[in-house]
Amino acid sequence: MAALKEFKPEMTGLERALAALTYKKPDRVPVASLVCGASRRVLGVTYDKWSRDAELIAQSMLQTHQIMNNEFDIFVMLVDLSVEAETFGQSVIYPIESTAYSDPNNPIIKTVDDYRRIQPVNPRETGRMKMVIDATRMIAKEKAKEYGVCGFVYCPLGVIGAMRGHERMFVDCIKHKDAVIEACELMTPSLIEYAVAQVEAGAQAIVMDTLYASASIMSPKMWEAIEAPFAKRIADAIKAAGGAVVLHNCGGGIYFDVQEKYTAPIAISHAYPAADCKTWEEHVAKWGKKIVSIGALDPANTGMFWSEERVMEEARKFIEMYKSCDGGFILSTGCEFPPNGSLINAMAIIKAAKAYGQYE
Amino acid sequence: MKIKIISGFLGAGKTTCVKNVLKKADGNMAVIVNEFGDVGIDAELLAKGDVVDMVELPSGCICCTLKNDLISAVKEIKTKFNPKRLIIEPSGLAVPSGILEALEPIEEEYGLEVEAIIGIIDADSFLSNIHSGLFGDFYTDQLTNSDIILINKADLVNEKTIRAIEEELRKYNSHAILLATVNCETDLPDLIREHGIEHNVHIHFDHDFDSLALTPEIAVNHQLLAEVMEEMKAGKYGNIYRAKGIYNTTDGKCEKMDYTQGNYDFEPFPKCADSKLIFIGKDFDRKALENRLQGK
Repeated sequence: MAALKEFKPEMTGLERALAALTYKKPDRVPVASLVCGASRRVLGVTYDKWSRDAELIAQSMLQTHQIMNNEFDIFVMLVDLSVEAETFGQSVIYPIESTAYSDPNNPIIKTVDDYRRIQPVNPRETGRMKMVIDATRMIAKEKAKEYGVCGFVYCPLGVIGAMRGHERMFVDCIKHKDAVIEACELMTPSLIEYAVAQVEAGAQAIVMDTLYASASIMSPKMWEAIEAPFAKRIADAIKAAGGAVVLHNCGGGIYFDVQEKYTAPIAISHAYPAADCKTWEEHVAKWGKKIVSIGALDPANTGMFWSEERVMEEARKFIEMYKSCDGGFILSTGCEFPPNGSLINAMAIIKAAKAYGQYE
Repeated sequence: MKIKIISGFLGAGKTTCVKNVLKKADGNMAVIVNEFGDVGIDAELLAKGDVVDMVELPSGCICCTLKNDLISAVKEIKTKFNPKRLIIEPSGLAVPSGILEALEPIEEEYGLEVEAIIGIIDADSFLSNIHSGLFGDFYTDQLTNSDIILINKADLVNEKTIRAIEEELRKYNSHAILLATVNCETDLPDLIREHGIEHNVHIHFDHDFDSLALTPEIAVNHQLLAEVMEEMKAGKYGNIYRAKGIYNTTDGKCEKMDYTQGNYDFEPFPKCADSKLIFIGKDFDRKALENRLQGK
């Protein structure tokens, strides 16, 4: 392992993040924490309770920050991918020690006609969307002056997939495209309201999860025809409210070009190179100076299998790869840190940023 | 713990295939399914002890959380129940290569052996799906990584379409055994799955085929096996399309044999816990072959 350099901070986490996002070299590579569900273990609460309580979510993330010497730079308010669906009426299963998920045996959208019956919701008052807004407010109150706080919203296809079953929805995208588009239309105003409410609660940016915009799942043609216009509306609303737009997509081969066209994000959190790049080197060369990457350590390996030293070494590789991008890189896992993964390894990511991520 | 992964898009017949495998199970088995509701928790199967555990993987998330949950589920099944076999039926949008990657770090420690990946396609919609340009890589990943592909619902299409499907499948997978089925009814051959590329195998569409799987307890004589290869090539036992083996030899080594339509080779193999030989063909004399291999 390369020799570790001592790091003396000269910026707050927020300054560091803003510098990276504007391609001005910060004092070191910033770290975005995707230690979300895993943070419950610091506070000592079960997942089922954590997933449904704003206070527990906020306290666990704050305590996690403290236990990590307040050294990660960006909070991300990802609870799980059933939050929005639950607020729209989908029943959710809350395992005691695993991520909550939409009940696949009881989808609320049972038939194609049900797409047209989606009712708007008030996220400020209802369900777990209200919970996330409240948790965001609590985190922002404590941390937004010195650290980045990113809200989170799942884009319409993801939410609809959680209410219909992702496979069934995919088939409907082919056979009943109009119905799916209508569902997106019915749902988007509520998702916009949700995102804006998080900005008003103090989040400086909103992470939009556009899971379906990847080569793993569907063609760019299909994504553009169905979700892209709605993603644009959400992104525009976030910007109009004073927030910045960050995308998250952990699918393989995500469409950087198409997503840039519709949402113009300042950064994309991702786990694999863009669809038009075969390797990470190619990705850095093509996209590194255009859209800031947040990533891309493999979450399962980072949290569950690698040693602390290996995590640092893999982080070092990414840091080195992105060194030519004028500071435009934020280190993280490519997706949420495994909720039952080793917190020592989560801290190793920060150690690596300090040891290897100083810009000359 | 031997693992079979059954992949396929919605409606292809994945769940039917899982049910068929469960019905024919001859030992204790665990199952990880996408959704309980489709398979049905068969209380009788569970009570008999044939299926020791059935775990539902939340289909609500098709990204990284699924990987974490899969690893946890496999570990728990192996530790608590240690079944002989595990069937994994992931979401139809899941990529088998991702499942293999997820299991790789725990393979050795937990004694996992991926026996086969069975891909199922719907004969009626496959060609329109693959040519639509709308499907993501998950669809072709399921084809590329399958050891056996069931061209299911074959009764809904004609012979010409089956040929066209086979031709299309070969663009993605030159080595998989292709079987046309109705309701996924077929005897799945035992296979030894290796990482890497298998030889090109073309088996004509047929509902039936024969297979012979041997697990010799004594070491295999290389010279004898080489003679058998020549005899197979000459057609002595009937039509044998494919044969494969990983086995311990009488001179204390471990070896791998690969036979494809008259061509064969032998290679050293790092380690084999148990010897296994498999022969697949049509109307061949299994008894004569077995006797010959046993030196009778």
